[in-house]
Amino acid sequence: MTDTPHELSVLRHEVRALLDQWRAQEWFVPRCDAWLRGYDLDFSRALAERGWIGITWPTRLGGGARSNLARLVVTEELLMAGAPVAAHWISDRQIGPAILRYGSPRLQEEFLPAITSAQVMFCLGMSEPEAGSDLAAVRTRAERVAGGWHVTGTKIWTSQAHRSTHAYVLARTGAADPKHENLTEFVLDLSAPGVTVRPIIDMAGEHHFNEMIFDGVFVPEHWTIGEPGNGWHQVTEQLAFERGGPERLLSTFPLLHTLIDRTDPQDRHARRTVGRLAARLLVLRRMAWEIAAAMDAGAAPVHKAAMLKGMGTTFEREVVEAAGELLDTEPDPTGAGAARLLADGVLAAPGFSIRGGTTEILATIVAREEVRR
Amino acid sequence: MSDSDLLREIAADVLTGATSENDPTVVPDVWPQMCELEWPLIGVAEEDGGAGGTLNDLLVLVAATGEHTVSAPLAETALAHRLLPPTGAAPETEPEAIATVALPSPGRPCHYRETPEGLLLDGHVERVPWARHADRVLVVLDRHVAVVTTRAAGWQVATGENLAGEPRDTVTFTRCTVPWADVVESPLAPDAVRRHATVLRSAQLLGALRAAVRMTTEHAGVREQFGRPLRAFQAVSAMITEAAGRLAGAESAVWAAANRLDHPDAEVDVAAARVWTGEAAGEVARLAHQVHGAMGITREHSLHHATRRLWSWRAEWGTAHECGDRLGATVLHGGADELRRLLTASEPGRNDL
Repeated sequence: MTDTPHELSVLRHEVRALLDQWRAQEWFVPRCDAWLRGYDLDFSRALAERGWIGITWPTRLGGGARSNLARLVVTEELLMAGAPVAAHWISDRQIGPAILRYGSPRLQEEFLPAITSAQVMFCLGMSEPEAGSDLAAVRTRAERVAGGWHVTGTKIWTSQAHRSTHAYVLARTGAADPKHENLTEFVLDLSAPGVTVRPIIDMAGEHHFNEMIFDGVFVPEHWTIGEPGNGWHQVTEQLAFERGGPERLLSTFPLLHTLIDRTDPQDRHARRTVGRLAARLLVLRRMAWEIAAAMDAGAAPVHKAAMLKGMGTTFEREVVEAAGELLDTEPDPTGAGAARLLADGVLAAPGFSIRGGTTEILATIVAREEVRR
Repeated sequence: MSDSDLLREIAADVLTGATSENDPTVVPDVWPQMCELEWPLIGVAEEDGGAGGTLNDLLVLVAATGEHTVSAPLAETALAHRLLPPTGAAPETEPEAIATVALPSPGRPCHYRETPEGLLLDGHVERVPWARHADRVLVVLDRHVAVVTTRAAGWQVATGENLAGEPRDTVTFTRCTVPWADVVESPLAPDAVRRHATVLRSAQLLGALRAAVRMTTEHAGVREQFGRPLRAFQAVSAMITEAAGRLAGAESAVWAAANRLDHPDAEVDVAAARVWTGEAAGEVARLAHQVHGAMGITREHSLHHATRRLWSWRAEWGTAHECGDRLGATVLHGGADELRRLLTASEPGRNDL
């Protein structure tokens, strides 16, 4: 699937013009970290109507049959605008592609059109109380029963579980030794009996995290994603999608936008700080572009994606630090404009380098590959 | 294999083993071979007396000199050839002749005025690479390029070096008349000359970054402490990853800038590449030395061939500081929408990947 530069440019202008209009109509107020925190189902459905969810998937499954570059164009415009896209973000970025890659035709037909129309919203059931960075240590178990599985266990740090319809769940379907084997990926209905979702309030006072407790939740046989037991291989590939996208560098773009608007070009120190931030962003964004292009060419650039996530999240935090230093305002979570954006940024920043694999774990992955070369 | 890969392999054949303790008083041994292969003429069209090929080809070779930690006046001589017209204004020169470019810094212009005989130069240009060995020094003066040769009287060279032992000399002009026959109209505006120079040094930095990262990952894979290789320590993994990421960004940034040198937004891409490579130089050198431990700071170990070049080249022909300042001014005058436009205006073509 390819898009010509002209087609990409047309798409970009279409997205940008619509976002400008919606912001002018005050449908949304730009926020930092809006891809995780900005939940607005109507907004996601308006994007769905335009075909911007699942844009790379086949048309017979509700998708747009376009390139990963086209998806990058849409997502980076949404992120730069600080638009509320959390409702569909995980499904579009990660779970849809996983189902497309490994799911049965039946599973694909059941879920992909429902995702692209924003009827089904996925959240991520990966981490557990005893399995954070060490994801392969998951203890949630799936036991075979007539017609499917019973899933029992606890998942944690699941953003937007309380508003999602379904969860992606990584569970153990056999012996725990060796730990990378006998893992299986499932789709789980959050309205099924045996599901409890409990809020975890984050330090900003917001509710996006949750704990999900499964007590013998029934999952039908055909809701297995791929081969039972092949979960580890599949999930590591999924991480290329999770880590290599522009949300790893643009989470604080709305704050950078405000910093630029409010900085005097005559202030030499501020000018240099902004110039260096702009330089880093230009380069990182180009790397994101190269990752999308590599995916269009059929590759899964896991290594480069891990590298980009480490550097991109550092950049996001540097924006917050620079804004804290240069903006003539104090962070105020109840305020508006710069004060609010700064407050959002400061309190969200520690999560940037934790979610999606901590910087330290990513370093282990990258270094192993570098030494092997 | 792409053309670039092929060229990189050819360069490796020529340059492997050419690293030496630089003696700035002599021309490097590898230079005649580079000239025989016409490297300084690459990127200039054959009908203009060049060797054909693209600027990208030249930059692949320039990066290779950095990668093999070789010092040679390739970037300088090639830049000079780009400024000279097809039929040389200067006297016919030997194929191995070195030419260099003197770029007066904006804060310290070299004074000149036009006279019936030629351009009368008074002043000095500092840190001119390889000037002592050059038979032509091209002084970039607004729209003029004065080709200073032994035909002109009244100039002298005072020697200086960079941290890597490469000549960085001061050229002083005392009522020096450069005859009109040796003055050419620059095909590039002074800003564009500076951008070319910045990209050439950035490509050298990219090469030296490759060298430092390679040595560091190799060392971390074989050196054992506490019964395991260094890379098995998480702290060391983090350092390798940081260095590898800086290198990957430099690869993206340098080729982006190279491909857009003729574009209206060239200044932005060049500045981004220079900020990135300049910052990377300091960080990668620091990390490489930390991983190598004490043996890395000896003259005997080869790491300093890469790191002394990183520290030298980042300070030459545009620094991260200057380029950050210019880019900051562009972004602040244009506003956040201008940054948004710049971020998304250039969609890299397949050739860059």
